[in-house]
Amino acid sequence: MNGMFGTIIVLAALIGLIIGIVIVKSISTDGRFAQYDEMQQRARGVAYKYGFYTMTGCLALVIVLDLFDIRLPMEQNLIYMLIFLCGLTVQACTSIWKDAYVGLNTKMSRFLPAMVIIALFNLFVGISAIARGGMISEGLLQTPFINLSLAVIFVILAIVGGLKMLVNKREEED
Amino acid sequence: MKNLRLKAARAAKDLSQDELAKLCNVSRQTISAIEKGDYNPTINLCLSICYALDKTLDELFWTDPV
Repeated sequence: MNGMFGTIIVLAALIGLIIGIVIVKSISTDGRFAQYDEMQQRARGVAYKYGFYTMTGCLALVIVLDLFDIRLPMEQNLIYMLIFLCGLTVQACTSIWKDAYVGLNTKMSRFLPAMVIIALFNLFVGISAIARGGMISEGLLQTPFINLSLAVIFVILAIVGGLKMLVNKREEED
Repeated sequence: MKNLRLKAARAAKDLSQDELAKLCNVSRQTISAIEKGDYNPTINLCLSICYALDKTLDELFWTDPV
């Protein structure tokens, strides 16, 4: 049963990866992955560093909680996925704040709708899981919680992006 | 330290930050950060900016030692 579940998760992740690559390529002006200039590359390096620290910190926290026999009310694989997402969120927010999230060749007219669609899709999957009663089982949060988390993350990214746009507008003198 | 010479040279050429950024193949925010003194560009980018503005490195980026 566990092996079957694992296979489904891996397959879903692979399909997600393929769809992700297609989306990333379709939102660029030249069909390539996002290209960044030197300042953006440097800023993204800093963002990855913060993301890594966040992941390490979260993982350390989970290990410490485990040492004290404190169990988080969620499936084990969900804990690791959420730690991964925390790191990614910090990386993305830092990149946005340092003007290094959107590449030089990113088509904004496609980028923003793509983000909204992905967020709504995850929200839909999450809400469907709640409606089916698949979100919580035996008192533990289940894997579909990841979809709700993703929807929340997209909202956070939208807020950070909006704030950054306001700051940029204020600073813009041209 | 703000780079007012870059800002002046850009204005003299009647270029916006966005237009200069496109000429140098960087983002507008990068040009803004250089002008504000928040980012030190590499020599390659300095040269690109100089070529775009018909200026020399000395004219735009040289500072006397303090």
